[in-house]
Amino acid sequence: MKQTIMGLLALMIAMLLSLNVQRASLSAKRHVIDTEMETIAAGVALEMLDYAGSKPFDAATAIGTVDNADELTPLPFSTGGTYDEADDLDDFHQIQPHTLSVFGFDFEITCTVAYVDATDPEVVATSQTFAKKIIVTVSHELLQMPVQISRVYTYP
Amino acid sequence: MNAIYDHLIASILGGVIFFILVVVHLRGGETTRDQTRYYSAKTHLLRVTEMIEHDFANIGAGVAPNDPVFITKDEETFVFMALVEPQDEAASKITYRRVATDVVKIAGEEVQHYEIHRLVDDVLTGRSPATLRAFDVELWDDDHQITTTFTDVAAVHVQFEVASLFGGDDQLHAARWNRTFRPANLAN
Repeated sequence: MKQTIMGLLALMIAMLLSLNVQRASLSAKRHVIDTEMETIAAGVALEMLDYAGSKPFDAATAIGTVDNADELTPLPFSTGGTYDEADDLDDFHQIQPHTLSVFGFDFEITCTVAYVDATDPEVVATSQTFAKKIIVTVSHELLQMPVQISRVYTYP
Repeated sequence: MNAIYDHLIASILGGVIFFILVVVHLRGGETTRDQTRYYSAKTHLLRVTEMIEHDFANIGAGVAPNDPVFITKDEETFVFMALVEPQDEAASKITYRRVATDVVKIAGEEVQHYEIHRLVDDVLTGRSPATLRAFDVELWDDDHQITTTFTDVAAVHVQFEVASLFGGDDQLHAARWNRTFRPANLAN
């Protein structure tokens, strides 16, 4: 009886060891997938930031020089526009989710835009300033959590 | 009888435990190999991205206003003008050429591997590892649409996939990279 219990104990230890190794193997594979998806998603987010950055800072600056921040688009920014319709930075604020396909993966992109304090971009301003911060969020079901990248654009 | 029974049980248990330990050992080795292959692919990818980032960000730099920036763009070859070194006075002709190398089988399907050759003024100055599974360059206009009209190009999108030099028949043994460049010197 004693030998049987010892034998079963040995078997249990071996099975636990096996389970842990299998778990570590799966975790390593999951880590590779996460890293790959995050790299691709970061590329997508950077593309979106570059694209937004290629647009004028504001509708007012697109047609002439602006010296007073009050001449810029007032808050709140309009929402629900589409990616193709965006003509200046704040047009990207809460646009309808845009899908970009890279390596056969369809990433969903959403954006938020806010005026920020030009000297401290972490502080969101409650009125117009010459600095706009755009936060791009890229989502995909294979991402553990959405990838977010932000950039501050200033005028002039 | 009891002695035979004890020996039988001990042998079965010993066999099962031995089998489990062998599986554990093999699985542990496989995980280490997978990670080595992936990080090898990632290292090679960084070598290629370094080369591409430098050239593609400078597309059009040093080109006179009415001179062409893009020379050729087809499936295999992408030729453009760019500054190679910041102190250069004029742009050089840079060629990226995709050259087919081996064919490998991944999940039963044949996959072509490539190598990228980088030429400056037709002189070979760099090459990628010979395990690129994809290398795609697209020219985009201002509306994010692919264009073949060089004067409409506002951005250059590049994406590629590098497999490990140590083999591996899994998609996990490759690293991918994508980036869109909007050089300040393009027309749009």
